[in-house]
Amino acid sequence: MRGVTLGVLGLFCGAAPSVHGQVVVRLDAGAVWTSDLAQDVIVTPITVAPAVAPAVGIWIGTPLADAYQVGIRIHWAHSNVVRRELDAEFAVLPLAVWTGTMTLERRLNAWVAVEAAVGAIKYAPGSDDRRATLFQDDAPLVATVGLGARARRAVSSRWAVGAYLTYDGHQFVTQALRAGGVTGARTVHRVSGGVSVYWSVG
Amino acid sequence: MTRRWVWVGVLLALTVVVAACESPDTPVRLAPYQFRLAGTDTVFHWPASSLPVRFWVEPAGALPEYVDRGLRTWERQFLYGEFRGQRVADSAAAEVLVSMEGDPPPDAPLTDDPPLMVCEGVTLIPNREADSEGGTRFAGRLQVSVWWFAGFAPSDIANCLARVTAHELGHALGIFAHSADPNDLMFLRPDARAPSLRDRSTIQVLYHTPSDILPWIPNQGAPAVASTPIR
Repeated sequence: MRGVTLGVLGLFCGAAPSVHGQVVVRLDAGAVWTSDLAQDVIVTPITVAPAVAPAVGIWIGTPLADAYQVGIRIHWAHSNVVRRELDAEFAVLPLAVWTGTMTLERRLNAWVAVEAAVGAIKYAPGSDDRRATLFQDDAPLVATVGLGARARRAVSSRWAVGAYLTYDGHQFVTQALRAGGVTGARTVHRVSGGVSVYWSVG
Repeated sequence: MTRRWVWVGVLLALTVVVAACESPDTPVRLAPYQFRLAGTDTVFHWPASSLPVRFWVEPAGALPEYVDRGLRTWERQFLYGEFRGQRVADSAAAEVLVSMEGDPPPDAPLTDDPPLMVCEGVTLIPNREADSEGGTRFAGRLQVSVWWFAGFAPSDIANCLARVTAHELGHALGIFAHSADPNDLMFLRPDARAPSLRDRSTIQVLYHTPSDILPWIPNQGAPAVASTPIR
């Protein structure tokens, strides 16, 4: 436990007290499914959600004692926000979603690890297309928490490949939705999956 | 044992954060006023395939600025990308023409002075015709005209033209009728500078009601001139 705490503090201070003095860089590539950002009824039911988005990420971490790893992950996904009504779909605007999280990973065995993540998510809609949308006044930056599972297999002393499946959730509302009469925030769920490449440095 | 409790704590925190979230209510909207074309029960709004709708504006004084302001203020009434408009330089490529009748208006900034009706406007709704696919389509462009009366303060004229242009753009978006409430921008003689909550409800309901008419397609030959005027 003390090692975990020191590791987290060390990462913030730029000097991770890793067990082996090792830094691991991981690149992720995959896709993200996102639940509805908004639901409404205007004549007919309406839902608004990002389409399944291609995504990439980079994670930099370090092993700690007792099979733990801590790290920082930057993740980017991009797709169109889509409005669905009466079995039809309409593209609303392109949307990038940035996520920055600090992760704590626990290796269960040589292949499989589970992780918890906490951080922030930033919506970045296309600036020219915000008009007439829920993002017309702001693009939220909100806290997010997540869990995930990772499989990893070493292919050399420095390189490994793997796959991941993660979940994260956050609260979503915009000023335009509030101005439009929406009270409260919606819980947005995201499920990500993909493949990873690991590179051990040092 | 301690490590196990760390993970139990993480899971519990995640569960609490996600599960404690409230589910937002669907917005309550005011009852819309009539937006159908009088005497026909016809509904029109711009389809998603036409967005952004292209407006050509006569370069007469501040008219282009009034049109930009009007388009932005109507776009702000939407949340889900139902409408977008843009000004274009080529009238042949435009779906809507906006012009100033008479002389260009005097140059004056907009103010918060009480509104005076020192200008007027009209929107010409083109006649409908059957298209080749069995639908109904406008036979030409929508045309908006505004004009002003001499003998009044330039700022009153500017305020009126900005207000009436936004009102006429409401017609061009598909509100083919008037509100009975003088607080609404779509009241026959509008005092409101921007859409009210009822205007907002009406335009939102309109854009989620199936449209009976397709728009005229620019660059498809000379449009027919017969039309129905809405003030």
